[in-house]
Amino acid sequence: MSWEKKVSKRFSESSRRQGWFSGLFSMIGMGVGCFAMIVSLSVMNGFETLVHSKLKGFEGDLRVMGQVSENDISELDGIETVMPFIERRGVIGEGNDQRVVSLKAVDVKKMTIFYNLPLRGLSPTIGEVAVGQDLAYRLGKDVGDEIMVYSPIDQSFGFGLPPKMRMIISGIFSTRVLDYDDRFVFLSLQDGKKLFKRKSGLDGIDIRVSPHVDVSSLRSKLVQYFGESVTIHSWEDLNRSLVDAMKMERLGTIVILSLIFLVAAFNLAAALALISIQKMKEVGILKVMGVPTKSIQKIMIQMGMNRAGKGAIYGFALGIFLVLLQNQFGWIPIPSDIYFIDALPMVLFPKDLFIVILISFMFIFTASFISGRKLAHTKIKDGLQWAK
Amino acid sequence: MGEMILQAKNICKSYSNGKTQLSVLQDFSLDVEVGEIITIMGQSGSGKSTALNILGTLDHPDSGELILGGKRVHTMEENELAAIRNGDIGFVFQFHHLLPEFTAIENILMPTWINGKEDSKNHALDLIEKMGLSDRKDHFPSQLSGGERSRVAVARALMNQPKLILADEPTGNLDEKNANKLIDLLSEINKDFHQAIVLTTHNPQVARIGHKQFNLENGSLTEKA
Repeated sequence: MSWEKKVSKRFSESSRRQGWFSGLFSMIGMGVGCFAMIVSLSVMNGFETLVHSKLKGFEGDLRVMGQVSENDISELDGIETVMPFIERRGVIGEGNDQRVVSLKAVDVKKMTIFYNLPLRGLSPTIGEVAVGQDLAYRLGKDVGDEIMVYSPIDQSFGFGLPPKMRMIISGIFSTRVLDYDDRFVFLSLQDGKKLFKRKSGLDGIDIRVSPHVDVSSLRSKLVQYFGESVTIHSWEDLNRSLVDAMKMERLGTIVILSLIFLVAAFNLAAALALISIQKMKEVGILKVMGVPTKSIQKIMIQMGMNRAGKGAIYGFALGIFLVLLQNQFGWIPIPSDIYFIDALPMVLFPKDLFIVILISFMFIFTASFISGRKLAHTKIKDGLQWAK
Repeated sequence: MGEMILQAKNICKSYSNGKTQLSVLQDFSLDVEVGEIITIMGQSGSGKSTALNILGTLDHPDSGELILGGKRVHTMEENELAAIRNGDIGFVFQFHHLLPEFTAIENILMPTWINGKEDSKNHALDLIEKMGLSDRKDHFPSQLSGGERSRVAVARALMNQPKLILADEPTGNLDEKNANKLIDLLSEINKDFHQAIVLTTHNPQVARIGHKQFNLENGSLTEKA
């Protein structure tokens, strides 16, 4: 143990009686701050992870747009499966009750492999569609019902009526992501080609990347491989506004919860200022013995760390413990009909732990540094006279 | 003439109290040789403590020069002065100025901890034995008598084997018996370790241990015949 640590420990012990109340509050403040930040970030992470997996389950990891064949891509390393698609705005409904939707024609044989869709009923085959739960509810339709589907801009020969198809609803999916359950309708590529007269080929290919393969490096590889003839988007690019909103929400949470640290830091600074007055004499004596200013500053910072740092570590440990308990036992329930899971999701990433430690110790360091600065620059004579 | 350890040349120091200027030291000059005991006598308020504070680099003179072991210390930065105080000067004060949070042996060891010598415990034990405090080494200052605290302070001042010891009225707070004991101890240290001692006092009996005895009057020193 360095001598500065020894001194700060003894100073802390001796001043515990006088300043224990404010010291306790700065310790509790830092503890509450760490705990709140860990729990909040882990809940945000939990929901974000859930939304991300839903989005990826619906769209895949990467989307290649342009003139590219399915075989070209599926042969590449790191690709688990691919899904060719044609997407078109279209209308679905019966009589006057019609809705504008996104018609997504896909390789229906691969639907259950590629998409992670909670589906009631079956995947569509030729002459069938799968619709979202909200859309089915609005149209008053259920599995097995017939429905009219068409794309208004795909008129034959540039005039007349667009081709319409009466199709059977084979399944109803429920993603609960954005407005997907109200917007998307899946049908087979063969039916898509019949409906979308003005489309000459595929719009693109969705890619699901093998587990443990880095998506961004695979994306770079695809860009190199195909050159500028195609454009490649990740699921994050396709949902940029949502991803940005979630990032902003996370930043806001960190900033707001940092205010707890700020209050605790004020408390710590006040407690250390009190100790500074009590220890003027001792600092004078230490300086007589040749202690440099920076060592006095170091002692004060260590005293701050001793007090508030302990609180931060307790809060940190308690937060992690709660996250582990929740993941193990799911003690905090949430309504599954709204969130499609039973228990509050909590996920902790190492970078979040690092952020919490960094912010809490930054506040402790700053408060200790500021309150220790004046003491460190005390004139020896003033310190010794304080004793008299 | 022996080797010079400390030279103070024409030191002036004054304090301002609002509009009035109080001159404490005027052309204060003092030469201290290795192994010499210098005593400075003066009445309360004559500037003894101010002089010792300046000699010990605890305070800055308004003008004049201070040379310690050949180094011109009056121009040095605070961190350089701290190193000099730690290695070259030992201080003994009237009020002991021990750290109340540390035991006697820890107080004695403190100067070596500060300069990074962690293996000086045997030296500290020798010193505490010499002070006759072996059985009190693990006591805190609050558990020691005034005389014992003074001896701990002397042991602490000797710990880094400094060339110079500055003692500011070390007996001022002690009864006669303990005062005599401390003065004998300082004389013994001077003989054994050959360290120069500058001691201030207002007690003529204490002043007698000095190889050179000075009076501090009107801010400057006059040597007693």
